[in-house]
Amino acid sequence: MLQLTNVRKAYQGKVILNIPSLLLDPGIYWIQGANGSGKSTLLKIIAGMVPFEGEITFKDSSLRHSPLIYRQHIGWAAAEPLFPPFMTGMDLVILYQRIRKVPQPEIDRLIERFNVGNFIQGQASAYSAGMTKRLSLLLAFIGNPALIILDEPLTTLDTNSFTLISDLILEFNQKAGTSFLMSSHQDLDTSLLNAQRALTVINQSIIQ
Amino acid sequence: MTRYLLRSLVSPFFRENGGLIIFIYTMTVFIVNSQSGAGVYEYHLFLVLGTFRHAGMMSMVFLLWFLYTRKFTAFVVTEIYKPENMFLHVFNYLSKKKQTGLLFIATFLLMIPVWAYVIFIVRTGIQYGYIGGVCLVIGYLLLLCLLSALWLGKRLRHIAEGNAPVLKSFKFTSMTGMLLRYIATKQLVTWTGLKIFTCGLLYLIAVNNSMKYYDGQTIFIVISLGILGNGILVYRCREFEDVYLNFYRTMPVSLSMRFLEYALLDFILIIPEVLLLVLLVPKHMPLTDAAIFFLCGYSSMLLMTSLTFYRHFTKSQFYKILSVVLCVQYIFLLTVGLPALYISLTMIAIALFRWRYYKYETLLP
Repeated sequence: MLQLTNVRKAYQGKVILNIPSLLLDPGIYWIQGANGSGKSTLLKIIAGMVPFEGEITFKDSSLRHSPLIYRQHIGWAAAEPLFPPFMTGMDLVILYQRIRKVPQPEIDRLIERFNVGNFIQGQASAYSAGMTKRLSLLLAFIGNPALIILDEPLTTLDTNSFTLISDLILEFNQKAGTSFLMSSHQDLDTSLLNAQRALTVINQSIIQ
Repeated sequence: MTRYLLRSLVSPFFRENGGLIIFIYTMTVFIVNSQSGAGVYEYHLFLVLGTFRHAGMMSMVFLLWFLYTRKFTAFVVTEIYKPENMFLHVFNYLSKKKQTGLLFIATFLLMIPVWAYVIFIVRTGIQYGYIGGVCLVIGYLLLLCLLSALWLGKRLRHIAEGNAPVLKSFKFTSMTGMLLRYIATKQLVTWTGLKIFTCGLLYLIAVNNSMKYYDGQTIFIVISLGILGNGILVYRCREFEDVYLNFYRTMPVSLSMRFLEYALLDFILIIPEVLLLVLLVPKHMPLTDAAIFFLCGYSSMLLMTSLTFYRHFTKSQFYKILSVVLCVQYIFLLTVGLPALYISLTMIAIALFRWRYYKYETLLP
């Protein structure tokens, strides 16, 4: 499914990641590692956010050579999302809907499932950290991408939202076959913990 | 209380804009050549007398002061919503009258660059008997300070609701639209100032330029300078995008479409210059020249956009590069000609964008 070949990332001459080869089958993956080990950088690289050396392919689509097709398969939610303060959550949903060509009923269903209907018409500047997080997670799910990358998806969420997101990850994985790649410092929900496969970033590389 | 307001709201404005204010003062007040015995003093004397005597000129000055007030008010509103200034909500415990009074002091101080020149205006007005005009000027500026203070007070009382957009109905959901909304809400004063400067200067030069003694080179230099001034907006858009719109990089949007989105934004930003060029044809400018000036200006905008993706430049580095671009444009003007210039700039812009877009490292780590 996801293949990394000779992926290398350095900041100001210091190597952060050096992954000669990594092949991941469909599933739910939980990336662990100490602070500064490169977890977020790895997720950003796979999401196509930052430049890197090497090759990444997903379902035979190369991020480097066919980025448009590759990006159609990928959903992304940042650890600490920031959205334009003058935009409403709905503006952002419409943007994603238009680009990913998603029918309205699916959008309505996601808004209901993520329980964001009560604030999505408000401006992002008025959102709490938890509301912003839920919106960013919803955006990552729009268009049902085959791989959803979630950087610290559970931080700033309250207990109800924590359970809700865990359930949604399991549901999408089981019903739609969506794969998830996520990092988390928190202990995962028990059911999610049983379903996931752990990856650990140590010494700039990754261990399955 | 006043001290906290000064430290949190007034000082940051002058720290960020002090250089620009000194630059504008130097350019408009001190750099005036002597001609037939008339120097800096005479120049400003007649400028002020002209302001008192002609309602149109007075309106223009009032508009500029209004734009300056709008600029510092928008800046202060942004400061109010910064996390480090959230303590300012304690001002809401004061009575509305006291709060407005304190904010009036702050806006009065933010108006210092204007007051400095107004002293000269008042002195000249009294000396030449324009007492009504003097009262009007002082009254207008105090009114601007008061309105700004009232607006800031309102924003302070609604600090928990966040920064409301200026144009609520402005809803475009595309990269171009989001950046336009950013400019409309946060950079409107800068954009307006740039347009007044560029279009005003271009108009004044062009209308005094009869076709018999037509001087296209001077007009081109003015247009180039004005267009490159838009670099500040291009730079700020990139900064904004790096912080708030970096999610867009992960979206399935082709590189060509991304380039077209920026190209559309660039075109919209220079619409006033384009309209002015259209208005100047054919009485003050040949159609071919207007078309070439537009193409050169637009290709410069595209190049500036692509340059911001080459790598993260500091503001001063970016301005230095723009100075080099201006020099290159001048060399083209004097040597191979302008058609070669706009073709080269467009090709470099496209190549640079294709080569660097996905390799560009955003500000965020």
